[in-house]
Formats: sequence, structure tokens, C-alpha cells
Amino acid sequence: MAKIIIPTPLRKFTSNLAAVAVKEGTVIESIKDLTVQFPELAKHLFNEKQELRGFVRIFLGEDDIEDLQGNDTNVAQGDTISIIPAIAGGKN
Amino acid sequence: MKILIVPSALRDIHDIAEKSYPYECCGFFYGHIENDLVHVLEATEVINDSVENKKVHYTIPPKAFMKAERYALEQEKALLGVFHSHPDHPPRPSGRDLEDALPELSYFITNVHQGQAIDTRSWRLTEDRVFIEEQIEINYSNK
Repeated sequence: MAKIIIPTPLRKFTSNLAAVAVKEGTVIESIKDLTVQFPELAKHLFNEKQELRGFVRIFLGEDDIEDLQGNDTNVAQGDTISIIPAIAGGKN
Repeated sequence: MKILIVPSALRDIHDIAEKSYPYECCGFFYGHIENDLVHVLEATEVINDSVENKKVHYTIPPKAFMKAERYALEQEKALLGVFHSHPDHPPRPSGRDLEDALPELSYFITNVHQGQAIDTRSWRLTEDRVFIEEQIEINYSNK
């Protein structure tokens, strides 16, 4: 199993768990496993097109997955994934 | 939820919004939640990291969020929400504000009209991902 660290505002949807054990595979498969365990989380992580929302940044260990292979980055047993919000918005 | 904010925190948000005009400012605020009341005690600025037009958009990078969570822990306060400004625009969430919003946080928006902060409103995302307005009241007891 791998582990996903949950940011404080989303812990309400993981029974207040700060970290959740998930299946390894690719990053997106691990995150999908998280939303299978906690379905209420899905609408906050994914938009209507089932793409990760703009604010959702994923780190594998210390590395932004955008600097690796994106959603297809391999997740091995014992790896730690962090979901970190990049907050954005504005009048336009 | 209802917001109770100490005057110094609201003044800081307005000062930051005015200083940043005509660009959007952004930052976090901290305090605690008690009996469904959000007590805002402190606000701190984050430099708008948007690579788009900062007059209409703001970005708080992931590392700033990590830092804010750590700061709240050290200060024994809760990270309560995010503030940003709408220069010469009503303090209502845009479609973009909604698309990227997180649940369980309050979103303050300050309308800065011709360089002067005139109104701050608070919004919170429901579980159905709709923004509802929260009442803001000044807490003169500073607690």
C-alpha cells in the first residue's frame, strides 16, 4: 500500500484522517482508490469532466508530479502522496 | 457560519487590498471556531503568484498553503480561510472562484473601489459546491 496525506480542509470527508492507505499503481489510480474509500471527496477533487480540479496539486514524496510523469507517475509500495491545494480565483 | 473578526485583522486585509490595487491581493486568516462561530484573529498576506493578469486573477502556490498549515499549528490556531480582492468589482465569487474553491474554508472578498477598500463579504462552499454568504460582524472584544 501507499499513503495519501490529506490537507486539513478535506479531512472532514476522510473521517478526519490525516493520512489514508491506498493501492499503489499510478498516481491517478491511487487517488481514485481514495475516492472509492471516501466517495464524498470525489466532487471536491474532480470536476464534471472527471479531471482533477485546478487547485489540486499532487506531490510524490517531495516532488510535484508535474515534474515527473504527471497522473501516470508510478506509485510504489510505501510511497507517500500529498494532496496540496494551490488556491486560485479572481474576478474574471 | 457567522464570522466574528477583530478590527485589526479586518484593517490588515483592507490595507493589503489597498496597497495591492489595481492588482488582486490574497492571503490567509487564522483564529478558531467555537459554537459555529468563526473567530478571525489574524490575517497574513501571500504574494499573488498568478502567471495570468493579476488585475483579475490570483494564485496561492501549494508551498504557501503548506507553510500556512504549519504556521497555524505553531500558533495553535486554525487556518480558517482565504482572502482576496476584487479591484473595482463587486465582492461576489466569480465562476473561477467557485471552480477552484475548497470546502470547509471561508472566502473573504474585498471590493477595492478606486484604491479604497469599501466592502468585505464572506462566502463558504456548501457540500453541493455552491457558495453561500456568511455574515461578518466586527468583534470589538478582540477575543
